[in-house]
Amino acid sequence: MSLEIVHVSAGYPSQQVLDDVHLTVPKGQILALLGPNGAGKTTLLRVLSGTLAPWQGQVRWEGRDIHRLAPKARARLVAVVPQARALPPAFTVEQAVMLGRTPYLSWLGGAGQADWKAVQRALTQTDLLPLAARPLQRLSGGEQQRVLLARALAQETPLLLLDEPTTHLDLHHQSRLLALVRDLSRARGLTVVMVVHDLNQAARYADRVAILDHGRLVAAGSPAAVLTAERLTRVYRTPVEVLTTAQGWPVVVAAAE
Amino acid sequence: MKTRWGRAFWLSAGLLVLAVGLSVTVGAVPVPLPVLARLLWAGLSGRAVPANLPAYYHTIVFDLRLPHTVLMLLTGAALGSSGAAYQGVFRNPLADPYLLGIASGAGLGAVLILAIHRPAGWGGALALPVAAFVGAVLTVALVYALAQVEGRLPTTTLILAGVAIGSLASALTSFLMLESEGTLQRAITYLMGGAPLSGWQPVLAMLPYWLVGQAGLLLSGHALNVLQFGEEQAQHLGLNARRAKALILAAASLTTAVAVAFAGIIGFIGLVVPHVVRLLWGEDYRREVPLSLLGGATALLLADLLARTLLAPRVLPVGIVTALFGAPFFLWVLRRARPTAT
Ligand SMILES: Nc1ncnc2c1ncn2[C@@H]1O[C@H](COP(=O)(O)OP(=O)(O)OP(=O)(O)O)[C@@H](O)[C@H]1O
Ligand SMILES: [Mg+2]
Repeated sequence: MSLEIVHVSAGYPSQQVLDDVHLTVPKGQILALLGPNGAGKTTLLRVLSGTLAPWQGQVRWEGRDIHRLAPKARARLVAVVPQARALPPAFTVEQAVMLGRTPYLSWLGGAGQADWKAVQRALTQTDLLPLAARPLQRLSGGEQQRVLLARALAQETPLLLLDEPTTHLDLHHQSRLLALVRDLSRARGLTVVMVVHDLNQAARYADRVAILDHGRLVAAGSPAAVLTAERLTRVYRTPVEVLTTAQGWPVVVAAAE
Repeated sequence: MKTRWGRAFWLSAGLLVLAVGLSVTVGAVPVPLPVLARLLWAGLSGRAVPANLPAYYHTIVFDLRLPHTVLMLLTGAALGSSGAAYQGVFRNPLADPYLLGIASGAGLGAVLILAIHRPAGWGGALALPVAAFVGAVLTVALVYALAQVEGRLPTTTLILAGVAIGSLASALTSFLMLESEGTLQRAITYLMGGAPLSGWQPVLAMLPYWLVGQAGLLLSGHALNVLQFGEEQAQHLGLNARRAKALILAAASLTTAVAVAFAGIIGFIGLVVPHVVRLLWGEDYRREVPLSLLGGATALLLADLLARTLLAPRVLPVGIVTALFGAPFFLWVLRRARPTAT
């Protein structure tokens, strides 16, 4: 029972990006995907979500190749929180979150009791209930980001992918979001792959971290094992120091250049 | 939500009934409402026309006004709903069968089959929309391919590609018309927005295609909603985005094609009506498509009324009237759309 990324190579017509990435995420765990800009993190999420077919290798969930599933079946398995960009302006928050129920709806999109319940729950979990009737164009960037999270939660999938979900969030909502994701993974066995740039958030909330650089997997394992000063200095081409808190979490700080 | 949508629907339906009433009663020979009611009642119940009514009323209503009104109704409805669908698929408030050149492409298809084959009678009437459909689909595919920049469809390239392809199609159409002799020329002038066809034949020939196209569009509301988040997110949500887009574009092109094949090229209804619907009732394509269908029919009936009465007894091409109102609206939308669409 796990997400297996089996020797995946992938890219775009113009260039190869991922080179033989091999990685397993046990069910119910949170994997933080780290790496410098352009390393291929978003590309890997595309392969995991089924929208980009790998050139080589496979992505398997519970032994099944997710690229062989029909779109609807896949959408009941994997939900994605993309980076908030150019959302349709006139949709209300509730409408947008309801679209997360698409994999369970007919072609006409008529929603039932269970769908409304799931939407209400997702809105509550993301603190969006008071904004339910607002059109998306009148939300802040962080609120839009939370709408996309709520939509993914309404999808009620066992696997959740997030691409830089905390970028637009304030400090409070950053820890709210990460704690929510962690609680869901603990309580419901949700398996999570999230791209984050904040190494300390990764260390704090992820069960495992993986570092991508130039499309290759540099290291994967527990935060304490992977986040070493020597490795981070090499990958990010910036001198860093790694301290340890009283609770034993690594804390990464950029040293003066 | 439900009641608001119900109100929108009944309001639109009521306006349409009003427009139909005006369209049938107003004209060179006005038909008073009581006379119309009695005629319709007699016609529907299969009884003879009341003896105390002048016989010409029957001819005017059943052979002239009604077929024309129904033709305009079906055409306007087709332009309204297909406009909403094009705006949804292209995610662009300026997408419209006319501006994207699709109507001109459909017109070229229709003229080509008239020039090559010169079909007549029922066979010809039923073949015309098929040819127009082929022209429309080829135009959409071409405009889509030309307008794409790095996987996106920016407003500027979309409109430019549409205008360029549309002009090309119009030029070819004009060329064919010049080359043809008198009879064909008369048969195809209406395609350029001239006098529309009359009688029941075009209406009946149009109807089967119209029903198929409209059914397709009315079923695509939810898919259009999902597509508003872009192809990739639509896939995340379980929609086969490419296939859904292709199916919706096919339905919209069929709907546009039947309108063009029997009523000629009429601009701006498909642009203005869905826009007004969105402004009034918010964005949800499950409502926008049916409301644009009703609104499009109403708008074209009113434009046609103006075309017939403004310079009576002369009849203006209805396309001139829709352009007169639509073009300024287009510019207004263009200015409003600028900050978000690039
Ligand atoms: N649609 C695309 N077509 C072609 N090349 C692309 C496309 N998307 C990304 N790339 C290229 O693939 C490489 C990896 O991009 P990717 O978006 O996966 O990086 P990333 O690790 O997510 O970076 P960031 O931290 O900046 O988000 C980059 O060199 C990028 O230019
Ligand atoms: Mg990225």
